[in-house]
Amino acid sequence: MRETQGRVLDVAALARVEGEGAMRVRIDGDTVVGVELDIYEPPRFFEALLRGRGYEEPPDITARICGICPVAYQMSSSLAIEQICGVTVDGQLAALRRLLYCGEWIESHALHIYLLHAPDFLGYDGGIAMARDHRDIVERGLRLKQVGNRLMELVGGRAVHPVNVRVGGFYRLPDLDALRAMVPDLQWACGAALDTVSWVAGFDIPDHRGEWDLVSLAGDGEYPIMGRRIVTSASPDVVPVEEFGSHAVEEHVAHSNALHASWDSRTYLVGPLARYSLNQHLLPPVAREAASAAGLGSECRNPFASIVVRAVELLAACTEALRLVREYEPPAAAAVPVVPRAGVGHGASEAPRGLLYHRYELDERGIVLDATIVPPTSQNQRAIERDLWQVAQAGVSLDDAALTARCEQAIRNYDPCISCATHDLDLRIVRA
Amino acid sequence: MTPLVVGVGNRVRRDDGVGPEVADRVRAARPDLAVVELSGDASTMIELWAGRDVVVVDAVRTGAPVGTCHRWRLGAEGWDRPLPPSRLSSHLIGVREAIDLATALDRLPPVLVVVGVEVVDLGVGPGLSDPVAAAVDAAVELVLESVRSAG
Repeated sequence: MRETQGRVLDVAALARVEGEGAMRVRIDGDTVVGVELDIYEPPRFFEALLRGRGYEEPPDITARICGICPVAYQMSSSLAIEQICGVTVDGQLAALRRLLYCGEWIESHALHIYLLHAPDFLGYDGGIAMARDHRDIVERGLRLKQVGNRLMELVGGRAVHPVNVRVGGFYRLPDLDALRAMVPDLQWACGAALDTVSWVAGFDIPDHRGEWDLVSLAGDGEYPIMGRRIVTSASPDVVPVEEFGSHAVEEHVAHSNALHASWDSRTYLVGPLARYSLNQHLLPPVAREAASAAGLGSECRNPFASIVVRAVELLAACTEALRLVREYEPPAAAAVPVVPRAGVGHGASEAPRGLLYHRYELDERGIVLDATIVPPTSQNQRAIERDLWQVAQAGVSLDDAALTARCEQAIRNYDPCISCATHDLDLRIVRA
Repeated sequence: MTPLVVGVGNRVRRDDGVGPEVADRVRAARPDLAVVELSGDASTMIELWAGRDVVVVDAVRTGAPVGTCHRWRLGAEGWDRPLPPSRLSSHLIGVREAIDLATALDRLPPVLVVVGVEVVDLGVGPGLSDPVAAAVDAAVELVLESVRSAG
């Protein structure tokens, strides 16, 4: 060990993480004494912005929180408001929603796997350097992403910030011929996603076990994307989404602008590892077989293996999208009529990064009196910090550059969407 | 094919919304142009720009005075001046990263112009800071002029 007394090191900002924030690892001698993740949280601003707005506005307004997962915000908010208004969106309209959401999963997972996360395993600084040596592979990733974008454009009206979603359904139905014309692309995507699973399964994945509970929506006969029941690894009990707030408690911690969440007072994780571990029996057979061939068991608690789980979910989303497009028959109307009424509603869906919860209170005119938004990354912050502590301690003898790289990779395991918009994460290792 | 104008940025991150704001103004001035707005992942541009001339407008931080409008142009002879280092843009796969990726994959458009507006406030909320709002006219003019020379 070199002398580190009094040393404070600034290292490069953390790239390839969505959003903005700061992370500080403090080391005293050979011991990690602190890990602090400090992020900014647009949802707090949006909660304030939503108060006083009409009941039809939250899907459009909250979609702007994140340029990567606007559909998740649209769906969780729509589900909450529909609950208040006593509306159920089912049949082909629900199928179209699932199709749109599959587009977002495909787009987001392909981006993360190919351009953000794989370079860590292959020894590149980023996706661009990797593209120079692995052009065909990066082209495959971009084309997969494009298939997701195209689905979002056809169903959502626009690939970025879909404008066609409304409370009760859609403003207009997608063009049937254009949707059916997606079949060859989706067939290609299923094959490419299967190849993706094989590709990432061959990476040298460090052994690691995260010590946290897992929380996700429960699938209702299919892998969960939207739903009203929550399952956890800590208890066999199924929790109705209405009770989310009595289990998930957010509290301020001194070092962060963001709230830190716990589930029944315990650290927990949402996202691909949780979804897979709690629902893998509901994956389409081809994805389940691919997971098994890739060496994933019935549970996966290794965050470094999240790239494999994401690839399995990418395959599941492509398979689901192909099925939904083939089975689609235009419903009679693009939306179910929604008449506002006073009450409280809860909505949850599985954003690519994990469970996204919305709660709204409306008055009898449909004006938003109160809004609560709990995004996946804020739920995962405590788990990420805990994991970083373990990873930093295990690598404490590395030099600062190597330790920083290891920590960055560990953070990217979670695909955190730190402010869902812009900028860099400033990562510092401070040796006292 | 008419040139494509891409406004990159997030309208609820203050000055980061300058790209979309300029795109709105360009769309109003030239309804005949293809104008798109992108927030989040700029690698999507690589698909959008296949086979057409492109003008991209984005928020930048190069250290120049706030409100400064920059322009970089890629033509047959390469870039007219070097692009600033990565992190020119504030985005994850930002404009610079998308350009580098397209370069690595031989998928750059024939003509590519990047118009950058020097920004200061990237906090949460709508609306541009005064010096950036004051630069919008000049940025729109720069985009329109670039479109004329590209087209």
